[in-house]
Amino acid sequence: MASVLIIDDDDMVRTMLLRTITRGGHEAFGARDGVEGVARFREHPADLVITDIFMPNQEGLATIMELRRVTPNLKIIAISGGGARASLDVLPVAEALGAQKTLRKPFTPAEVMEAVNEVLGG
Amino acid sequence: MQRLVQDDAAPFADDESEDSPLCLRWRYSPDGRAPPLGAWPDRLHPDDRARFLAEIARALLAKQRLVRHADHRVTRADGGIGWWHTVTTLCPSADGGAFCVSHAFDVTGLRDDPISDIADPPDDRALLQALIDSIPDLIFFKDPGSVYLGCNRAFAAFMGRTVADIVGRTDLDLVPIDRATYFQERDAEVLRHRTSHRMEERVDFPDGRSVLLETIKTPYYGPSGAVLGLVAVARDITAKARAERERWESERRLATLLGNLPGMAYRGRADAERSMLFVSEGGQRLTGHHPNDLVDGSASFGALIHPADRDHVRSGVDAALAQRRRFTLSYRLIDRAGIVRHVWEQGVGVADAEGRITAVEGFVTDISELKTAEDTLRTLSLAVAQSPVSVLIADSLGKTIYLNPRFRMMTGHTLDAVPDLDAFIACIAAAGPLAVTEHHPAMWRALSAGETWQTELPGRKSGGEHFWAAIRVAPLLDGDGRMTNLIATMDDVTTRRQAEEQVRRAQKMQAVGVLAGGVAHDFNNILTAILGYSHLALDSLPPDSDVRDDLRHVTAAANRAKGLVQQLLTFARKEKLEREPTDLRDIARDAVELAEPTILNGVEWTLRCGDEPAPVLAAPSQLHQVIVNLCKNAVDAILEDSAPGERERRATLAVSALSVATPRDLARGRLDIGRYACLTVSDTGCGMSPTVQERIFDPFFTTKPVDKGTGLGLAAVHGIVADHGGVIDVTSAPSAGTTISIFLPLHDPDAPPRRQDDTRRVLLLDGERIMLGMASRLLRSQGFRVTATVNSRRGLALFSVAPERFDIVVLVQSATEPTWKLLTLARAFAAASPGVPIVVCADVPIDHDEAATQAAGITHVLPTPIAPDPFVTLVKQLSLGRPSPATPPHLH
Repeated sequence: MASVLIIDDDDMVRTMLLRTITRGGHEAFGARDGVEGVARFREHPADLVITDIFMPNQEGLATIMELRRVTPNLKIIAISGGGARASLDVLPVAEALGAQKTLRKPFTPAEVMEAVNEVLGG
Repeated sequence: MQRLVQDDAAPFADDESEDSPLCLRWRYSPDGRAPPLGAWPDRLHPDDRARFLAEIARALLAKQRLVRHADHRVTRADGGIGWWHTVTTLCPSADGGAFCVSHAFDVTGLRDDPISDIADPPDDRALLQALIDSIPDLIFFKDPGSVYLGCNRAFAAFMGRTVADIVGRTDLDLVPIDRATYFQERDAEVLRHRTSHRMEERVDFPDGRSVLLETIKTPYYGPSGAVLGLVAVARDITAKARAERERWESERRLATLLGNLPGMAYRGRADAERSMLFVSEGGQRLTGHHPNDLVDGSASFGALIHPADRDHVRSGVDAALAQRRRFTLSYRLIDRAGIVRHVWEQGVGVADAEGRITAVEGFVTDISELKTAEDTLRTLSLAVAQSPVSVLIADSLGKTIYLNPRFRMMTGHTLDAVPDLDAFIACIAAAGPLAVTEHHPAMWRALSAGETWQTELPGRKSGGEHFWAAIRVAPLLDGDGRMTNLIATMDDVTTRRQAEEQVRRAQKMQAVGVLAGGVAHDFNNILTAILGYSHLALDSLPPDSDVRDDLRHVTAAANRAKGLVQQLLTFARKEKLEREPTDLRDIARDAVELAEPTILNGVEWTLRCGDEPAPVLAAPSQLHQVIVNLCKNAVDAILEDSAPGERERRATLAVSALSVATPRDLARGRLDIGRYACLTVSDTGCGMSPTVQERIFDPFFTTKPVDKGTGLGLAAVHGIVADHGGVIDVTSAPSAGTTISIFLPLHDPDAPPRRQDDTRRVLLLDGERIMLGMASRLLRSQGFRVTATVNSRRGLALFSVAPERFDIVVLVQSATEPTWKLLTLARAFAAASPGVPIVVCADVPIDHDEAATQAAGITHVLPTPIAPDPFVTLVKQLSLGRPSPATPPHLH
């Protein structure tokens, strides 16, 4: 059983992910943005962080960089549904910054579990 | 004065007999002595005596017809009146008189005339009264005290009284006091000054008659020269005064008229000098000379005529005078100030009783303004005739009056084929008379309301070439606002339409992009939740639960929504995928292979690839998408065909390389000179109307059922082809199938990728204006050509449009800019053109992976603040395509 931190500002998505991960047999806890995510991570370092990219306060790419400064080998899955204003595809950048896996919204619980297991297993 | 003298020798016969004539001897004397009483002619009736004696005098004077016959009345011895016929023989005497013998015959009984009875021969006063009564003028006379001494009957009648009623009275008794006083004052004046006085006064009668009287009062004198009173004659001059006033008025009118004429009315001699006898006021305005100067010869009208026009004027006038006809001439005058005026003259010769031309009368007016207007009109008409726009002028009912040559050139139709406005439209429109049916009512509604009507419609030129025609029909109004004519113009606006179309499409794409980008994020979150919870629910349900099927439908619906969002995003993101040199034939083969089992199922299809390679620089996955979308549409069109069986159900794909030697206009856009790889997808399906064709590349436009088409397929094709620098051509007609061709620039691997000159071009992006200015000055000083902007979106747009215009991109991070943003921007530039080096200057020290900068396509990272030397050296090296300095690129 691994510990997974889920950072997403969208309550529906975050709750769904928490439920999926928990049902998948892992411990999961959430944060609403990058700042809160990094704080919770410092309190409670997780084995895996699943983070959204476009979020208020601190977005995902900066969060990824910060988390990797705290824990360089941290396993990260970046998820994104596209920016709210700029139509930019940033997932490749996230990957370049150190995310092991990226998932494009929308995805199914099965896809999430597959990615989680792949990253944790790797 | 003649007087009768009794002949002494001739006894007066008293023994008159009824039967035998009397023989009377007497003497006629022309001297002034009064005849003795009782002499024979005294018996002549007073009314006839003067006539009788006058006859005698006339005969003597003429010395002929010395025997006179006369019928006259006589006073008989008994005092009665009788008629005598007298034969008088005259013997002229030396003193001018004559000895006369009259034989008288009493013819009283033989005559029918009633014999008037004059009982009392009038005395002097009665005679005077009778005389003045016979005068129609009003006559009266007064004593020095203004008392009426007498008047004639006319005056009495005028005063409405009898003569007796007037005599002895004064004006005070007869007329209102103010008039009476006035009259008496005049009387006094006449008597005092002993002069005649003439006055005119208007007298109004109670019956409404109004009379103008002219009264002349004159004093009369006694034998001693003393003024005895005054005598007055008054005459009704109403008619005369009116005639005089009318004559005066008519003269005044003529003078005013001539003075107001916008030119010079004249009467002149028929000589070469055109010497003038009369010149109206207008002569001054026309020539600058006073009319009198022209008449008295101090200025010669002939000399004012422009020397070049003199012969023409002279011969024109002479010819007209010789033929006794009116002449009309246009020529130039040089006025006193030296100004040349265009004038118009009309004149006619005036002949005397013998038919000789003695004068010329006419009129000369300044037509300089008209002449200018005429020139303007001529220019205008030339402009219309040679206008690049087709012009038709019609009467107010739409019947053609004029058609300019441009129309014939464009449509090939001559005036005969265009009798009216409707024909004008029918000749232009590709739809022919159908277009008239469509537009006629609206057009005439607008025109009858005095408004301009305009439309743009698909037209066809004489060569069958299609074009966009802008037609405009406007009413021409006269000064009173009445519609006198209609003017129709037609212009080829194909180029503008295409440009507008492109802009419109681009705007729509942009709108879709913004919309999609905005919605997609939230939408994907929502879909994630729907899909997620559906799956979670499915996982929790027992295998035999009825709800599982319901949830599968929810999942299926969410998946469909997911596909739509993906397509929107592809569209909105405009991501520049890696392009690689590839042969369009290979892509087509791959795509068809991919599409065959699903899309091309059910129709016959052919793929024809030319032998010549068709290399393009493209993102293969995008071209796949293009081909698959085109095939899908072709198949849909075939399957949708309402008349299957009549035509074969076939889709054809063809790929070839071709060279375009002259620019070619396509249905949308233009194919410039160059070499192209061409992909054509044809079908034998239902085809499209021009209206549909116009919109097929619009995002969300679809003719397919709601569940089949998203309206994004061809929009995506359009976007991809345009991104690759290609153009699309569409030919289609309802029930005649559709052919869509895409032309992509042929990739020449040997061609230099960019311009090779010494000037390196830098695209410089910096969020801070001061930094930007500094960096760009630095680069310019080193001979770079710099395009600098603070707006990253604008910079990216500039670059995307023509990446080949830049040799290097320099992105400078500003203080507030997050690193991820910088990386994303770099990635966008790299995607737009992978070959252009990207230098990033960053000032935030961040721990990171080298991989991140590589993933973002960054060639090199420089720390800020920028150190001029290393910066310029790096930019120079990179822009010249040399390897960058040994230090590996990374952010510090």
